Amino acid sequence: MLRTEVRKQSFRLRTYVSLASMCLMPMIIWLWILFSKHPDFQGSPFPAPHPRQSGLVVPLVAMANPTNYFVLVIVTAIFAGTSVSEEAAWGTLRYLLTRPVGRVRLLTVKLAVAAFLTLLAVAIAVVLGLVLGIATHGLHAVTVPQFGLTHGKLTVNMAQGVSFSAGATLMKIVDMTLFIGASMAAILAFSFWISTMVDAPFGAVAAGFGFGLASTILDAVSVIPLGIRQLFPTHYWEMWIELFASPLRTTEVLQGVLVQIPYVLVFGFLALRGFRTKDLTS
Amino acid sequence: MSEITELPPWVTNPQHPYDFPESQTGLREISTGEDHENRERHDIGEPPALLTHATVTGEFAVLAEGLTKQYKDGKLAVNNLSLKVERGQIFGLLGPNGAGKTTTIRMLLGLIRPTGGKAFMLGSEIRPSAPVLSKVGILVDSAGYVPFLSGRENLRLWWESAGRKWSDIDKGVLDYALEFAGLGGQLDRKVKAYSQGMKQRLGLAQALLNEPELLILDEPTNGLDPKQMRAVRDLIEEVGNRGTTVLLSSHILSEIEQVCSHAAVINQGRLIKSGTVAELIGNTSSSFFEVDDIATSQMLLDRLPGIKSYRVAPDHSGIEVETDGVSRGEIVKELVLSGVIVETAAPRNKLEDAYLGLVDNLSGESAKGESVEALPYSADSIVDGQAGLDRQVVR
Repeated sequence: MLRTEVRKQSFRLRTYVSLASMCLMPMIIWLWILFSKHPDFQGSPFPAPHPRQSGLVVPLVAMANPTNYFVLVIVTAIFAGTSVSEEAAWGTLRYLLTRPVGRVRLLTVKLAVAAFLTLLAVAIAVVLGLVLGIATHGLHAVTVPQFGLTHGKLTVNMAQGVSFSAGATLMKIVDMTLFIGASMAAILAFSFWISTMVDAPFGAVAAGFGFGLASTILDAVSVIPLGIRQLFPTHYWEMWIELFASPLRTTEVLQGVLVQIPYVLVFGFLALRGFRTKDLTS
Repeated sequence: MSEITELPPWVTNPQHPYDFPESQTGLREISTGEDHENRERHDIGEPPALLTHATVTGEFAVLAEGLTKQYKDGKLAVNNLSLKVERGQIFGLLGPNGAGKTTTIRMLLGLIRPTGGKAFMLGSEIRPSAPVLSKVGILVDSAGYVPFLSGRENLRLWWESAGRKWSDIDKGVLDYALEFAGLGGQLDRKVKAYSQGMKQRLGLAQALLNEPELLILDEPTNGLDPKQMRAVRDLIEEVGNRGTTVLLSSHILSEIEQVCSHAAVINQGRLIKSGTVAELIGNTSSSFFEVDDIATSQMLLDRLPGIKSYRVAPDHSGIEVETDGVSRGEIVKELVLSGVIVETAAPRNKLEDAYLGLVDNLSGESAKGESVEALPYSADSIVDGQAGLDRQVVR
């Protein structure tokens, strides 16, 4: 069953278009660094005053870009939101559910494939940034400004720099990839839950995107107490930058992963409970 | 596999109120595998020999008892419906659009949860994704495919979705199914380029792939032209002849009449009548005679004994005759002796009349204040479509 689901996704153009859309940001950043006269990303969420120092800077700047998150939310909502609803729209769901395979198993497999594709989307963007960056600027150590945390916000001390070896930076980039993937879990689970309820794939995708958008907007409303905003699934999105703090600080990174868990459990439970007893009329 | 843990009440208690009486079902009652005499005894009112577990699991392809489905919005789609389909039967489920045929079939397949009653298929109680489904071939509503894959890829996906390897498929069965689908080189084109008829034929091929013991087809001729409809009927007869049980739903009467041995008429979610097709039609026979001289024929029919009534076709091409005791051949003989040229003489299709009578009666009753929600229905809707093309009905 896992194999058929993977086959189904691997034979379609949409999977590749979605994954390719994730390649846009690293390419833009790479071209910028390559051709700009004075490339400077001091104002970027990942501050890189000297981006030509190492090829490893490309994926870091690219993944920290808010637009990249925007694209990633859409891609996640597409993978999860169409997962079940599309089968209903095609009329194939009734044939899958009249096979001697349990509904819970079907959902588990579909959710796993959607999660895998989301992680793959993140990984592809990172790997492309790495390949392009290393090809033109080499595999060197990275010096970044010193980060600090005040009132729940990262602050940057441009005067002081910390240097990380190429190997250490690569390890941090792997951690970043996993963290960004995990940060999408709540949106993934929400889109998937909607997907089990509707017959219109676009509806589930829109709902998933709206969920991510609502969380981002509310998180930006400073009137809402920080204690509440910290429960929003998008609050810790950019906190992987903390991995480059010196001394190393991982509190927010861990919180960013932990905050996803209740969302996944609740939406996953709702999806399973609803779908297990759903009357299939599509 | 889930075995039956609790037998339906009518099995152990034949007087159970949910049991539909013999006269109503017209079925041979529960086949106990015993001799004919025993069945005859039951026919006159004696309870059947106590049914064993194995009897229930063995004799019936489909067994539904008091199936009820009330949706959350209060709509009663299926109301206390009981059905018995014996193994080897070609069983038609007949009813107007919206009668509850599809809901019933979806309940039998575990796609919809009944709000009441129980159903068994090939001896197992039905629940979602039951293992017994591997022995059932299904075409429900219409065929559904992944549009960006070829027909062949879709068959493969469906096969593998039950965890089986494509290489394990019986080549003979696959060839047979593909030959029926008749898609030729189109089989490797993307499904989204297929016509409705091609999709439907491929859907039937898919239903045959797992060598089903029971074939459940919901409106299988939807979207097919008359020639393809004929091919589907031939296929159903062929698989029926090989011992496969077929449960076929349709609103097209000629379809049921031509292929089914047994049928049940449902309307507004309720079983109205069930039995052999012959029983549904009833005893009165009706024939149509295509004659050159209407006036002489009328004179003859007026004095001939054994004629109940007759009706001249509106286009004056012939006469429809209700007979009572006189054979078609005798009438032809008399007509010819009177100098009338008889072009054709054929039995007139009567299921339509029987059906309309059954359905209309119920519609009338419910209008008097039954709780069953009135369903949109018109007499035309059941004889519309291309089925009419190969029917010889004079109206």
